Amino acid sequence: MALLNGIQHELIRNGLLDHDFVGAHTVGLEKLEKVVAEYPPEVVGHICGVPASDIVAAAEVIGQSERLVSTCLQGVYQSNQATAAACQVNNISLLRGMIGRPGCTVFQMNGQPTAQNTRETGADGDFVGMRNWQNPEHVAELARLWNVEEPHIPSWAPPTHVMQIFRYAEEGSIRFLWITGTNPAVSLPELHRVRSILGQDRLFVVVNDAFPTETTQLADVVLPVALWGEKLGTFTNHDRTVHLSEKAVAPPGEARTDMEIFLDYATRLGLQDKDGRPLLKWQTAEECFEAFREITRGRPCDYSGLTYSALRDSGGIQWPVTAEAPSGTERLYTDHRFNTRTDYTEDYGHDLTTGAAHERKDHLAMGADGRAILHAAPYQPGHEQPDEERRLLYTTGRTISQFHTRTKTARAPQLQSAAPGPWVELAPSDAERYGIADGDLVKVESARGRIVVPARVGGVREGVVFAPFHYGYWDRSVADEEGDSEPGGPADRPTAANELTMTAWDPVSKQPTLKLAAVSIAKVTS
Amino acid sequence: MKLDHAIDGAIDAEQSLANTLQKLAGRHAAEHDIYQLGHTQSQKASARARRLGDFAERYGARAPKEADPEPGLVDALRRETSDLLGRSKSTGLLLLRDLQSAYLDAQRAEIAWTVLLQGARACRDGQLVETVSAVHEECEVTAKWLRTRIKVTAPQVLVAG
Repeated sequence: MALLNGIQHELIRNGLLDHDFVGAHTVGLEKLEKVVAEYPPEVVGHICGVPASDIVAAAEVIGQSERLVSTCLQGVYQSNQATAAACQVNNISLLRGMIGRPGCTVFQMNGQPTAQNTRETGADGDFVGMRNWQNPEHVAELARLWNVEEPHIPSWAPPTHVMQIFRYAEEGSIRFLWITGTNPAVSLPELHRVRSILGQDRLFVVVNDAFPTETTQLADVVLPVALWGEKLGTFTNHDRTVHLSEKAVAPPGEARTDMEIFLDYATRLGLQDKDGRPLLKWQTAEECFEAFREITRGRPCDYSGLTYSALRDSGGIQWPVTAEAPSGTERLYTDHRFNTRTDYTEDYGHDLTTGAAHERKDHLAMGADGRAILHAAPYQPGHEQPDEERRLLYTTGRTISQFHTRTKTARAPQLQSAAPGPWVELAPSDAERYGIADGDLVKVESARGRIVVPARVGGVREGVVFAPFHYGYWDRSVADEEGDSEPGGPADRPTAANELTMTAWDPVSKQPTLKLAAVSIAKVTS
Repeated sequence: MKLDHAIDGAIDAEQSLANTLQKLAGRHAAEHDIYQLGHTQSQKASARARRLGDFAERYGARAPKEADPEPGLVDALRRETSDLLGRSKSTGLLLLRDLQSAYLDAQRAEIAWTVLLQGARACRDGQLVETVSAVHEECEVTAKWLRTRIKVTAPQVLVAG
């Protein structure tokens, strides 16, 4: 955050803005200027531990370039001040007027193609078709499209995010949790807490997954599901390309698709629309797609002109696909009009430091009306800082050969042998300070938990310990948190990086802060 | 001139808000966002009170406290109790009550700044107007955060809890 504010400070100080673009197509410059004025290179260099001259040079490269493509992923989204920082990346492109033409864009990416889909379909708890839960007209439109009474659309509060769902399960106001195709017992922060929540007797846990995982071990019911290649459906990539994914083989055994399972459940519940007809009027993947297509009509992710047959005939088509753009849209924002009209926008926005939700009147007062919004925020240190007891900063991440919690990649021999086991990385100077050599078994401990894994020396900066988050316990045996440990479980030989991370999340996006914790390190054996 | 009354009022309101937020954070530490943001916002509230230090001297008002309310042992105790009670039924209603009470404190601070701003304008004290305007907006954000959190909490507590 400080670094990005520093770069903007330099762009503004050196007059490297595209003033015509900023004047015509953005709002918020005045406030941004005021905030970033506090971040000259010397101040930022001190916060970030980099030479001030490097910040000046970086701003110079950006400020003199004729093209600019920025990409963000979890490195930004799971860090301190995640949404605020992601907005500063957008700001830089906007200040330079570099968007909506070849070589000029921002990719705020999602973790995987299905993570883009979930945002469009409402499966993240947001409203389908990027509708605004605070906009009564959007709610009324959804109610009409689904033929239900308006109060049946839960629009009285923002979507309940996963960390909040787990808190409700912890305090007992949620008693039934259905987890589909993910593995929170390894991927969420503070794993002893996650295990103890999922392990409660009063919480009934159903898990859909294709393979046994640490989460299925804690489930009351496990439903085996079909994977890609075993079912028909579409994926949408981050560049808005919709792909049709055909069924190549039948799913094994009793496995069914997630969709078949949920449809079956809806039928058994007897879900009805307001005229007493079945709520879900589709049965096949293609019928479901057609229903979704209608719901996206007129929204930013407009699929209205897209069909399975068009997708079969092509390698993928980029939304929006409409009567005016029947073969899709290669590039957005070519007219430099953005989705910020108050009646159209997906969200009225938030205060970036507290997550306080803006309301319609706040959004109107900004007067964006199709112009991009420059968001500003001061730098704030993370909630947990290294101290006397825990002197190092812990950060988690990925390695190229493994995906998520390895439930698929560890079953691919080539990938598994390329990255078979966990480790932590530390800087040579820290290794020397703590008497640790490459390959030593070390214990890394935070206020919440510990892992015991081999050390690798080199590759990270001084004062930082890095751990890949992939390595849970499903391919050993999972120990009962309370009971006696079985060999290789979290109580016996903890390896999952999220044993150490803290229960904290970004106030706006609600993504867990997985990249920041204070830890100590000590050698166990050579 | 009675501007000292308005300065006292704003300082008192913010210091009291700082205390309330710190108690809120500790008592509901099992709600991790409230623990973290409650403490940050508490520090901001006492920092806002301190912004009036020079003006308090100039207009003969009471000086703001130098330091933030000290969390220390009491906070650790509150936090532990919250973790212990974090799985019991009544925590939701307590949370809702404490959030409402903090919201009212934030509103009290907000209106105290409004009063002071009016006084500063009438005195033509440009420096004070500038200071008050800046912190007034920040104080409104604190209230808005509490309002958002109340809107999230109320349906769950009242209907599902």
